[in-house]
Amino acid sequence: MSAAREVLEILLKEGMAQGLSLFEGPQDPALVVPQGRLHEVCAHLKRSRLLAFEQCVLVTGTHMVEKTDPKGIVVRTEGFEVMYHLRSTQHHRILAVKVILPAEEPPTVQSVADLWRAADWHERETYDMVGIVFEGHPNLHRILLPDDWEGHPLRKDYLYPREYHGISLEVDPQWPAP
Amino acid sequence: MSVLDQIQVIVVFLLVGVGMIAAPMLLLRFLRPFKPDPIKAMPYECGKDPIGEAQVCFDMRFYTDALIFLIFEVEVVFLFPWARVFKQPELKGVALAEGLIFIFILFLGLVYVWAKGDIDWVKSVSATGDVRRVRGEVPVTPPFEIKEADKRERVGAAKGDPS
Amino acid sequence: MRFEKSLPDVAFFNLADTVINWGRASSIWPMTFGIACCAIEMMAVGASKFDIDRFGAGAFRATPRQSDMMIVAGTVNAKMALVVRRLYDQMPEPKYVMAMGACTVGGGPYWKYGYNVVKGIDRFVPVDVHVPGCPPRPEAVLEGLRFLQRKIMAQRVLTRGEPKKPDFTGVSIAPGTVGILEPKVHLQGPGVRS
Repeated sequence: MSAAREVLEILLKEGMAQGLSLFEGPQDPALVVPQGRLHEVCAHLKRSRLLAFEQCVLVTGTHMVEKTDPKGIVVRTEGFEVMYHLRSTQHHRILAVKVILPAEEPPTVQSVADLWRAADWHERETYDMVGIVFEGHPNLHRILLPDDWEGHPLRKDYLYPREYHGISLEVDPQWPAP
Repeated sequence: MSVLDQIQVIVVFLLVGVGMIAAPMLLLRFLRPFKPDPIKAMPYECGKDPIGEAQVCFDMRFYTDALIFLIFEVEVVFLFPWARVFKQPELKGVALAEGLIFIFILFLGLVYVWAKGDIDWVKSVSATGDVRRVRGEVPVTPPFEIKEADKRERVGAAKGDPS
Repeated sequence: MRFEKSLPDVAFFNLADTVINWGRASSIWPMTFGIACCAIEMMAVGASKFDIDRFGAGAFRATPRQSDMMIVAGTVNAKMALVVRRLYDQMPEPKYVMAMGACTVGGGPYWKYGYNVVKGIDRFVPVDVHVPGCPPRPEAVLEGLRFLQRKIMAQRVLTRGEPKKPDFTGVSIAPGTVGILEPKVHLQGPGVRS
Protein backbone atom coordinates (compact mmCIF):
# COMPACT_ATOMS: atom_id res chain seq x y z
CA MET A 1 0.00 0.00 0.00
CA SER A 2 1.47 3.32 -1.01
CA ALA A 3 2.18 6.13 1.39
CA ALA A 4 -0.51 8.32 -0.14
CA ARG A 5 -3.16 5.64 0.33
CA GLU A 6 -2.11 5.06 3.97
CA VAL A 7 -2.21 8.75 4.69
CA LEU A 8 -5.63 9.10 3.07
CA GLU A 9 -6.97 6.31 5.27
CA ILE A 10 -5.59 7.93 8.41
CA LEU A 11 -7.08 11.25 7.35
CA LEU A 12 -10.44 9.54 6.81
CA LYS A 13 -10.28 8.20 10.34
CA GLU A 14 -9.37 11.61 11.71
CA GLY A 15 -12.12 13.30 9.78
CA MET A 16 -10.04 15.61 7.62
CA ALA A 17 -10.56 14.02 4.23
CA GLN A 18 -13.28 16.19 2.64
CA GLY A 19 -12.45 16.93 -0.97
CA LEU A 20 -9.26 14.88 -1.00
CA SER A 21 -8.53 12.31 -3.64
CA LEU A 22 -5.69 10.19 -4.89
CA PHE A 23 -3.80 10.74 -8.09
CA GLU A 24 -2.58 7.34 -9.20
CA GLY A 25 -0.23 8.06 -12.03
CA PRO A 26 2.56 5.92 -13.47
CA GLN A 27 4.92 7.29 -10.82
CA ASP A 28 4.31 7.55 -7.11
CA PRO A 29 0.75 8.32 -6.21
CA ALA A 30 -0.02 11.74 -4.78
CA LEU A 31 -2.70 13.09 -2.51
CA VAL A 32 -4.72 15.73 -4.35
CA VAL A 33 -5.96 18.54 -2.13
CA PRO A 34 -8.46 21.19 -3.23
CA GLN A 35 -7.14 24.73 -3.38
CA GLY A 36 -9.07 26.14 -0.44
CA ARG A 37 -8.17 23.37 2.03
CA LEU A 38 -4.43 23.25 1.49
CA HIS A 39 -3.24 25.09 4.58
CA GLU A 40 -5.63 23.30 6.89
CA VAL A 41 -4.71 19.86 5.55
CA CYS A 42 -0.98 20.62 5.67
CA ALA A 43 -1.23 21.87 9.24
CA HIS A 44 -2.96 18.66 10.19
CA LEU A 45 -0.36 16.58 8.36
CA LYS A 46 2.35 18.31 10.32
CA ARG A 47 0.79 18.25 13.78
CA SER A 48 -1.06 14.97 13.94
CA ARG A 49 0.71 12.29 15.95
CA LEU A 50 0.03 9.50 13.52
CA LEU A 51 1.19 11.47 10.49
CA ALA A 52 3.83 13.90 11.80
CA PHE A 53 5.21 15.21 8.51
CA GLU A 54 7.71 17.50 10.08
CA GLN A 55 9.87 18.03 7.02
CA CYS A 56 8.96 19.73 3.75
CA VAL A 57 11.42 18.55 1.16
CA LEU A 58 10.19 20.24 -1.99
CA VAL A 59 7.67 22.73 -3.29
CA THR A 60 7.46 23.15 -7.00
CA GLY A 61 4.99 24.19 -9.64
CA THR A 62 4.27 23.30 -13.24
CA HIS A 63 2.40 24.98 -16.03
CA MET A 64 0.16 22.36 -17.59
CA VAL A 65 -0.98 22.94 -21.12
CA GLU A 66 -4.05 21.49 -22.69
CA LYS A 67 -3.53 17.88 -23.72
CA THR A 68 -5.61 16.07 -26.29
CA ASP A 69 -5.30 12.41 -27.13
CA PRO A 70 -5.05 11.33 -30.79
CA LYS A 71 -8.83 11.14 -31.12
CA GLY A 72 -9.15 14.86 -30.35
CA ILE A 73 -10.64 14.49 -26.87
CA VAL A 74 -9.31 16.95 -24.33
CA VAL A 75 -7.58 14.91 -21.63
CA ARG A 76 -6.36 17.79 -19.50
CA THR A 77 -7.27 21.46 -19.51
CA GLU A 78 -4.80 24.23 -19.08
CA GLY A 79 -3.82 25.02 -15.55
CA PHE A 80 -1.11 24.92 -12.96
CA GLU A 81 -0.11 22.27 -10.47
CA VAL A 82 1.77 22.78 -7.25
CA MET A 83 3.50 19.74 -5.84
CA TYR A 84 4.71 19.31 -2.26
CA HIS A 85 6.91 16.50 -1.03
CA LEU A 86 6.64 15.94 2.70
CA ARG A 87 8.66 13.56 4.79
CA SER A 88 7.96 12.02 8.16
CA THR A 89 11.11 10.77 9.82
CA GLN A 90 9.15 9.38 12.76
CA HIS A 91 6.95 7.15 10.65
CA HIS A 92 9.35 6.62 7.73
CA ARG A 93 7.03 7.97 5.09
CA ILE A 94 7.32 10.26 2.09
CA LEU A 95 4.15 11.84 0.81
CA ALA A 96 3.46 13.80 -2.35
CA VAL A 97 0.70 16.39 -2.13
CA LYS A 98 -0.68 18.02 -5.24
CA VAL A 99 -2.87 21.05 -5.72
CA ILE A 100 -4.44 21.63 -9.13
CA LEU A 101 -5.09 25.27 -9.98
CA PRO A 102 -7.18 26.66 -12.82
CA ALA A 103 -5.61 28.81 -15.51
CA GLU A 104 -6.26 32.22 -14.02
CA GLU A 105 -3.85 35.13 -13.90
CA PRO A 106 -2.12 35.00 -11.47
CA PRO A 107 -2.69 31.49 -10.12
CA THR A 108 -2.91 31.68 -6.34
CA VAL A 109 -2.58 29.14 -3.58
CA GLN A 110 -2.17 29.39 0.18
CA SER A 111 1.40 29.48 1.44
CA VAL A 112 2.73 26.85 3.84
CA ALA A 113 5.83 28.86 4.72
CA ASP A 114 4.57 29.39 8.26
CA LEU A 115 4.40 25.62 8.80
CA TRP A 116 7.69 24.62 7.25
CA ARG A 117 10.54 27.12 7.01
CA ALA A 118 11.99 25.27 4.04
CA ALA A 119 8.95 26.09 1.95
CA ASP A 120 9.80 29.79 2.11
CA TRP A 121 12.46 29.79 -0.60
CA HIS A 122 10.93 26.96 -2.57
CA GLU A 123 7.76 29.00 -2.92
CA ARG A 124 9.75 32.03 -3.96
CA GLU A 125 11.43 29.97 -6.66
CA THR A 126 8.08 28.67 -7.85
CA TYR A 127 6.79 32.22 -8.02
CA ASP A 128 9.88 33.29 -9.92
CA MET A 129 9.81 30.51 -12.48
CA VAL A 130 6.12 29.75 -12.96
CA GLY A 131 4.34 32.79 -11.60
CA ILE A 132 2.22 31.12 -8.92
CA VAL A 133 1.38 33.58 -6.15
CA PHE A 134 1.43 32.21 -2.61
CA GLU A 135 -0.98 34.06 -0.32
CA GLY A 136 0.40 34.74 3.11
CA HIS A 137 4.03 34.36 2.12
CA PRO A 138 6.23 36.70 4.16
CA ASN A 139 8.49 37.80 1.32
CA LEU A 140 7.29 36.89 -2.16
CA HIS A 141 9.92 38.34 -4.47
CA ARG A 142 11.99 36.90 -7.27
CA ILE A 143 14.81 34.80 -5.98
CA LEU A 144 16.81 33.52 -8.96
CA LEU A 145 16.17 36.04 -11.70
CA PRO A 146 16.80 39.76 -11.38
CA ASP A 147 14.02 41.74 -9.74
CA ASP A 148 13.12 43.60 -12.91
CA TRP A 149 12.86 40.53 -15.13
CA GLU A 150 9.69 40.24 -17.15
CA GLY A 151 7.90 36.96 -17.53
CA HIS A 152 8.11 33.56 -15.90
CA PRO A 153 10.51 31.30 -17.77
CA LEU A 154 9.18 27.84 -16.95
CA ARG A 155 5.78 28.53 -18.42
CA LYS A 156 5.20 26.74 -21.66
CA ASP A 157 4.41 29.93 -23.57
CA TYR A 158 7.51 31.85 -22.47
CA LEU A 159 9.30 33.89 -25.14
CA TYR A 160 13.00 34.40 -24.64
CA PRO A 161 14.01 38.02 -24.14
CA ARG A 162 16.15 39.82 -26.66
CA GLU A 163 18.07 41.98 -24.28
CA TYR A 164 18.43 42.95 -20.65
CA HIS A 165 19.45 46.50 -19.77
CA GLY A 166 20.97 46.95 -23.18
CA ILE A 167 23.02 43.74 -23.13
CA SER A 168 21.99 41.54 -26.01
CA LEU A 169 20.87 38.03 -25.09
CA GLU A 170 20.33 36.81 -28.63
CA VAL A 171 22.00 33.75 -30.01
CA ASP A 172 25.02 34.69 -32.08
CA PRO A 173 23.88 34.42 -35.70
CA GLN A 174 27.38 33.65 -36.96
CA TRP A 175 27.59 30.33 -35.14
CA PRO A 176 26.62 27.35 -37.27
CA ALA A 177 23.15 25.97 -36.65
CA PRO A 178 23.09 22.34 -35.42
CA MET B 1 83.26 61.17 14.48
CA SER B 2 82.66 64.80 15.15
CA VAL B 3 79.20 66.15 15.56
CA LEU B 4 79.24 67.73 12.13
CA ASP B 5 80.10 64.40 10.52
CA GLN B 6 77.30 62.72 12.41
CA ILE B 7 74.85 65.34 11.28
CA GLN B 8 76.02 64.87 7.72
CA VAL B 9 75.43 61.14 7.95
CA ILE B 10 71.92 61.68 9.24
CA VAL B 11 71.13 64.21 6.52
CA VAL B 12 72.37 61.88 3.81
CA PHE B 13 70.28 59.02 5.18
CA LEU B 14 67.21 61.27 5.30
CA LEU B 15 67.68 62.49 1.75
CA VAL B 16 68.26 59.03 0.34
CA GLY B 17 65.33 57.59 2.24
CA VAL B 18 62.92 60.29 1.19
CA GLY B 19 64.34 60.42 -2.32
CA MET B 20 63.92 56.71 -2.91
CA ILE B 21 60.20 57.19 -2.46
CA ALA B 22 59.73 60.68 -3.84
CA ALA B 23 61.70 60.34 -7.08
CA PRO B 24 59.77 57.37 -8.48
CA MET B 25 56.50 58.95 -7.41
CA LEU B 26 57.40 62.16 -9.22
CA LEU B 27 58.47 60.27 -12.32
CA LEU B 28 55.38 58.12 -12.36
CA ARG B 29 53.08 61.08 -11.99
CA PHE B 30 54.01 61.96 -15.54
CA LEU B 31 54.08 58.46 -16.92
CA ARG B 32 50.97 56.80 -15.53
CA PRO B 33 47.59 56.76 -17.26
CA PHE B 34 45.00 59.16 -15.92
CA LYS B 35 41.44 58.37 -16.82
CA PRO B 36 39.03 59.57 -14.15
CA ASP B 37 35.51 58.29 -14.46
CA PRO B 38 32.50 58.77 -12.17
CA ILE B 39 31.68 55.06 -12.12
CA LYS B 40 35.27 54.24 -11.32
CA ALA B 41 35.14 56.62 -8.37
CA MET B 42 32.07 54.95 -6.85
CA PRO B 43 32.64 53.10 -3.60
CA TYR B 44 33.31 49.42 -4.13
CA GLU B 45 30.50 47.18 -2.95
CA CYS B 46 31.11 43.98 -4.91
CA GLY B 47 29.73 45.40 -8.12
CA LYS B 48 26.37 46.50 -6.74
CA ASP B 49 25.16 49.98 -5.96
CA PRO B 50 26.35 50.89 -2.47
CA ILE B 51 23.76 50.86 0.29
CA GLY B 52 23.99 52.94 3.44
CA GLU B 53 26.85 54.86 4.99
CA ALA B 54 30.47 53.87 4.80
CA GLN B 55 31.09 54.76 8.45
CA VAL B 56 30.32 51.84 10.72
CA CYS B 57 29.88 51.97 14.49
CA PHE B 58 32.66 50.04 16.18
CA ASP B 59 31.91 47.51 18.87
CA MET B 60 32.75 48.86 22.33
CA ARG B 61 34.60 45.69 23.20
CA PHE B 62 37.46 46.65 20.88
CA TYR B 63 37.95 49.76 22.97
CA THR B 64 37.96 47.97 26.32
CA ASP B 65 40.29 45.25 25.04
CA ALA B 66 42.71 47.83 23.68
CA LEU B 67 42.65 49.71 26.96
CA ILE B 68 43.45 46.59 28.99
CA PHE B 69 46.24 45.72 26.58
CA LEU B 70 47.69 49.21 26.84
CA ILE B 71 47.84 49.12 30.62
CA PHE B 72 49.79 45.88 30.72
CA GLU B 73 51.97 46.95 27.84
CA VAL B 74 53.01 50.07 29.77
CA GLU B 75 53.77 47.82 32.71
CA VAL B 76 56.14 45.79 30.58
CA VAL B 77 57.71 48.97 29.26
CA PHE B 78 58.41 50.09 32.80
CA LEU B 79 60.05 46.77 33.62
CA PHE B 80 62.76 47.27 30.99
CA PRO B 81 64.46 50.31 32.54
CA TRP B 82 64.00 48.79 36.00
CA ALA B 83 65.94 45.73 34.92
CA ARG B 84 68.65 47.83 33.30
CA VAL B 85 69.16 50.34 36.08
CA PHE B 86 69.09 48.27 39.26
CA LYS B 87 72.13 46.11 38.51
CA GLN B 88 74.31 47.10 41.47
CA PRO B 89 74.83 44.10 43.77
CA GLU B 90 74.01 45.99 46.99
CA LEU B 91 70.52 46.94 45.76
CA LYS B 92 69.56 43.56 44.36
CA GLY B 93 67.23 42.39 47.10
CA VAL B 94 65.46 45.72 47.42
CA ALA B 95 65.11 46.11 43.67
CA LEU B 96 63.65 42.65 43.31
CA ALA B 97 61.14 43.26 46.07
CA GLU B 98 60.08 46.60 44.60
CA GLY B 99 59.68 45.06 41.16
CA LEU B 100 57.61 42.23 42.54
CA ILE B 101 55.37 44.64 44.45
CA PHE B 102 54.82 46.63 41.23
CA ILE B 103 53.90 43.49 39.29
CA PHE B 104 51.66 42.31 42.14
CA ILE B 105 49.65 45.55 42.19
CA LEU B 106 49.01 45.28 38.50
CA PHE B 107 48.23 41.60 38.90
CA LEU B 108 45.39 42.56 41.23
CA GLY B 109 44.08 44.71 38.42
CA LEU B 110 44.27 41.74 36.07
CA VAL B 111 42.31 39.58 38.50
CA TYR B 112 39.62 42.23 38.75
CA VAL B 113 39.27 42.58 34.99
CA TRP B 114 39.23 38.79 34.57
CA ALA B 115 36.57 38.19 37.17
CA LYS B 116 34.39 40.99 35.85
CA GLY B 117 34.37 39.25 32.48
CA ASP B 118 35.90 42.13 30.56
CA ILE B 119 38.46 39.87 28.91
CA ASP B 120 35.85 37.51 27.46
CA TRP B 121 34.38 38.49 24.16
CA VAL B 122 30.99 37.23 25.28
CA LYS B 123 30.37 37.79 28.94
CA SER B 124 29.19 34.78 30.91
CA VAL B 125 25.82 35.10 32.58
CA SER B 126 27.31 35.34 36.08
CA ALA B 127 29.68 38.11 35.02
CA THR B 128 26.91 40.36 33.79
CA GLY B 129 25.85 40.86 37.38
CA ASP B 130 22.20 40.38 36.52
CA VAL B 131 20.97 38.36 39.45
CA ARG B 132 17.68 37.42 37.82
CA ARG B 133 19.46 35.85 34.86
CA VAL B 134 21.79 33.91 37.13
CA ARG B 135 18.86 32.52 39.09
CA GLY B 136 17.09 31.58 35.87
CA GLU B 137 14.06 33.80 36.34
CA VAL B 138 14.45 35.61 33.05
CA PRO B 139 13.92 33.15 30.18
CA VAL B 140 16.17 32.92 27.17
CA THR B 141 14.32 34.11 24.06
CA PRO B 142 14.73 31.91 21.00
CA PRO B 143 15.74 33.67 17.79
CA PHE B 144 12.48 32.77 16.02
CA GLU B 145 8.88 32.47 17.02
CA ILE B 146 7.58 29.04 17.99
CA LYS B 147 3.84 28.83 17.59
CA GLU B 148 1.66 27.34 20.33
CA ALA B 149 0.35 24.60 18.10
CA ASP B 150 3.87 23.39 17.37
CA LYS B 151 5.09 23.32 20.95
CA ARG B 152 3.60 19.96 21.72
CA GLU B 153 5.66 18.27 19.01
CA ARG B 154 8.80 16.70 20.31
CA VAL B 155 11.28 14.55 18.44
CA GLY B 156 11.30 10.96 19.73
CA ALA B 157 7.65 10.86 20.78
CA ALA B 158 6.28 7.32 20.56
CA LYS B 159 3.83 6.42 17.81
CA GLY B 160 0.18 6.62 18.69
CA ASP B 161 0.60 8.86 21.75
CA PRO B 162 -2.63 10.55 22.72
CA SER B 163 -2.29 14.33 22.15
CA MET C 1 51.04 67.24 -18.24
CA ARG C 2 51.21 63.58 -19.22
CA PHE C 3 53.21 61.81 -21.85
CA GLU C 4 50.93 59.04 -23.02
CA LYS C 5 51.36 58.33 -26.70
CA SER C 6 52.96 61.72 -27.29
CA LEU C 7 56.69 61.08 -27.61
CA PRO C 8 58.35 60.46 -30.98
CA ASP C 9 59.14 56.94 -32.14
CA VAL C 10 62.85 57.07 -31.32
CA ALA C 11 65.03 54.26 -30.00
CA PHE C 12 65.35 55.80 -26.55
CA PHE C 13 61.63 56.24 -26.02
CA ASN C 14 61.00 52.81 -27.47
CA LEU C 15 63.33 51.49 -24.82
CA ALA C 16 61.34 53.32 -22.18
CA ASP C 17 58.20 51.76 -23.64
CA THR C 18 59.77 48.32 -23.51
CA VAL C 19 60.78 48.76 -19.90
CA ILE C 20 57.34 49.92 -18.88
CA ASN C 21 55.66 47.14 -20.82
CA TRP C 22 58.03 44.58 -19.37
CA GLY C 23 57.07 45.76 -15.89
CA ARG C 24 53.38 45.54 -16.70
CA ALA C 25 53.56 42.18 -18.39
CA SER C 26 55.66 40.56 -15.70
CA SER C 27 53.30 41.37 -12.86
CA ILE C 28 49.75 41.10 -14.07
CA TRP C 29 47.78 40.73 -10.86
CA PRO C 30 44.50 39.01 -11.59
CA MET C 31 41.19 39.68 -9.92
CA THR C 32 39.60 36.51 -8.67
CA PHE C 33 36.33 36.49 -10.49
CA GLY C 34 35.39 32.86 -10.41
CA ILE C 35 31.69 32.66 -11.06
CA ALA C 36 31.17 28.98 -11.85
CA CYS C 37 33.09 25.79 -12.63
CA CYS C 38 35.99 27.53 -14.36
CA ALA C 39 36.85 28.95 -10.98
CA ILE C 40 38.03 25.50 -9.93
CA GLU C 41 40.51 25.46 -12.80
CA MET C 42 41.56 28.97 -11.89
CA MET C 43 42.28 27.75 -8.38
CA ALA C 44 44.27 24.89 -9.90
CA VAL C 45 46.28 27.38 -11.90
CA GLY C 46 47.03 29.29 -8.75
CA ALA C 47 48.04 26.17 -6.85
CA SER C 48 51.42 24.55 -6.86
CA LYS C 49 51.37 22.17 -9.81
CA PHE C 50 50.51 24.67 -12.54
CA ASP C 51 51.80 27.65 -10.60
CA ILE C 52 50.79 30.96 -12.14
CA ASP C 53 53.06 32.78 -9.72
CA ARG C 54 56.13 31.91 -11.76
CA PHE C 55 54.75 34.22 -14.46
CA GLY C 56 54.31 37.01 -11.95
CA ALA C 57 50.57 36.71 -11.84
CA GLY C 58 50.24 34.88 -8.57
CA ALA C 59 48.93 37.71 -6.44
CA PHE C 60 45.19 37.31 -6.85
CA ARG C 61 43.43 40.36 -5.48
CA ALA C 62 39.81 40.16 -4.53
CA THR C 63 39.18 43.82 -5.19
CA PRO C 64 39.17 45.52 -8.59
CA ARG C 65 41.09 48.47 -7.19
CA GLN C 66 44.34 46.55 -6.86
CA SER C 67 44.20 44.24 -9.86
CA ASP C 68 45.41 44.48 -13.44
CA MET C 69 43.53 41.68 -15.10
CA MET C 70 40.01 40.42 -14.65
CA ILE C 71 39.79 36.69 -15.33
CA VAL C 72 36.08 36.13 -15.91
CA ALA C 73 35.77 32.43 -15.14
CA GLY C 74 32.29 31.00 -15.42
CA THR C 75 28.87 31.54 -16.94
CA VAL C 76 27.74 35.14 -16.86
CA ASN C 77 24.00 35.56 -16.39
CA ALA C 78 22.09 38.70 -17.18
CA LYS C 79 21.93 39.52 -13.47
CA MET C 80 25.68 39.10 -13.12
CA ALA C 81 26.57 40.93 -16.31
CA LEU C 82 25.75 44.26 -14.72
CA VAL C 83 28.04 43.42 -11.81
CA VAL C 84 30.84 42.36 -14.16
CA ARG C 85 30.56 45.60 -16.07
CA ARG C 86 30.57 47.66 -12.88
CA LEU C 87 33.66 45.87 -11.60
CA TYR C 88 35.41 46.35 -14.93
CA ASP C 89 34.63 50.05 -14.70
CA GLN C 90 36.08 50.18 -11.19
CA MET C 91 39.46 48.77 -12.19
CA PRO C 92 42.18 51.37 -12.67
CA GLU C 93 44.10 51.55 -15.93
CA PRO C 94 45.97 49.64 -17.30
CA LYS C 95 43.43 46.87 -17.22
CA TYR C 96 43.00 43.68 -19.22
CA VAL C 97 40.24 41.10 -19.44
CA MET C 98 40.66 37.37 -19.97
CA ALA C 99 37.55 35.45 -20.95
CA MET C 100 38.16 32.03 -19.47
CA GLY C 101 36.03 29.12 -20.51
CA ALA C 102 33.48 28.46 -23.20
CA CYS C 103 30.66 30.29 -21.43
CA THR C 104 32.45 33.60 -21.45
CA VAL C 105 33.79 33.15 -24.95
CA GLY C 106 30.48 32.49 -26.66
CA GLY C 107 27.87 31.19 -24.28
CA GLY C 108 29.27 27.68 -23.91
CA PRO C 109 26.71 24.92 -23.44
CA TYR C 110 24.03 27.56 -22.97
CA TRP C 111 24.57 29.20 -26.32
CA LYS C 112 21.16 28.27 -27.69
CA TYR C 113 18.63 27.78 -24.94
CA GLY C 114 19.97 29.86 -22.08
CA TYR C 115 17.45 32.64 -21.73
CA ASN C 116 19.38 34.20 -18.90
CA VAL C 117 22.94 33.68 -20.17
CA VAL C 118 24.90 36.39 -21.92
CA LYS C 119 26.48 34.56 -24.81
CA GLY C 120 30.01 35.83 -24.61
CA ILE C 121 31.24 38.58 -22.35
CA ASP C 122 32.57 40.57 -25.27
CA ARG C 123 29.00 41.81 -25.60
CA PHE C 124 29.62 44.21 -22.74
CA VAL C 125 33.33 44.32 -21.81
CA PRO C 126 36.30 44.57 -24.18
CA VAL C 127 38.18 41.29 -23.98
CA ASP C 128 41.92 40.95 -24.56
CA VAL C 129 42.28 37.19 -24.68
CA HIS C 130 39.76 34.37 -25.01
CA VAL C 131 40.69 31.02 -23.52
CA PRO C 132 38.33 28.33 -24.81
CA GLY C 133 37.65 25.09 -23.00
CA CYS C 134 35.02 23.67 -20.73
CA PRO C 135 36.83 24.15 -18.45
CA PRO C 136 40.16 25.07 -20.05
CA ARG C 137 43.06 23.08 -18.73
CA PRO C 138 45.35 25.06 -16.43
CA GLU C 139 48.00 24.89 -19.12
CA ALA C 140 45.59 26.61 -21.48
CA VAL C 141 45.04 29.39 -18.98
CA LEU C 142 48.78 29.84 -18.68
CA GLU C 143 48.99 29.95 -22.47
CA GLY C 144 46.36 32.68 -22.46
CA LEU C 145 48.40 34.58 -19.92
CA ARG C 146 51.54 34.30 -22.07
CA PHE C 147 49.53 35.49 -25.06
CA LEU C 148 48.44 38.49 -23.05
CA GLN C 149 52.01 39.16 -21.97
CA ARG C 150 53.19 39.26 -25.58
CA LYS C 151 50.30 41.52 -26.45
CA ILE C 152 51.24 43.88 -23.63
CA MET C 153 54.88 43.94 -24.72
CA ALA C 154 53.74 45.24 -28.10
CA GLN C 155 51.71 48.09 -26.64
CA ARG C 156 52.62 51.69 -27.22
CA VAL C 157 52.61 53.57 -23.91
CA LEU C 158 54.68 56.70 -24.36
CA THR C 159 55.52 56.74 -28.04
CA ARG C 160 53.14 57.61 -30.81
CA GLY C 161 52.95 55.85 -34.13
CA GLU C 162 51.68 52.73 -35.81
CA PRO C 163 50.58 49.93 -33.47
CA LYS C 164 53.24 47.25 -33.23
CA LYS C 165 52.64 43.63 -34.13
CA PRO C 166 53.03 41.38 -31.10
CA ASP C 167 55.61 38.61 -31.27
CA PHE C 168 53.84 35.33 -30.67
CA THR C 169 56.72 32.90 -31.09
CA GLY C 170 56.27 30.06 -28.67
CA VAL C 171 52.65 30.85 -27.90
CA SER C 172 50.21 28.52 -29.55
CA ILE C 173 47.17 30.12 -31.10
CA ALA C 174 44.50 28.18 -32.89
CA PRO C 175 44.67 28.82 -36.65
CA GLY C 176 42.20 31.33 -37.98
CA THR C 177 41.90 33.27 -34.75
CA VAL C 178 42.79 36.66 -36.12
CA GLY C 179 39.69 38.13 -34.54
CA ILE C 180 41.00 37.38 -31.10
CA LEU C 181 43.92 39.76 -31.35
CA GLU C 182 41.76 42.82 -31.79
CA PRO C 183 38.28 42.13 -30.47
CA LYS C 184 35.83 43.70 -32.86
CA VAL C 185 33.68 45.14 -30.10
CA HIS C 186 35.27 47.96 -28.13
CA LEU C 187 32.69 49.33 -25.78
CA GLN C 188 32.44 52.32 -23.54
CA GLY C 189 29.17 51.28 -21.99
CA PRO C 190 26.98 48.20 -21.80
CA GLY C 191 24.97 46.89 -24.65
CA VAL C 192 26.18 48.26 -27.96
CA ARG C 193 26.78 45.32 -30.23
CA SER C 194 28.19 46.11 -33.65
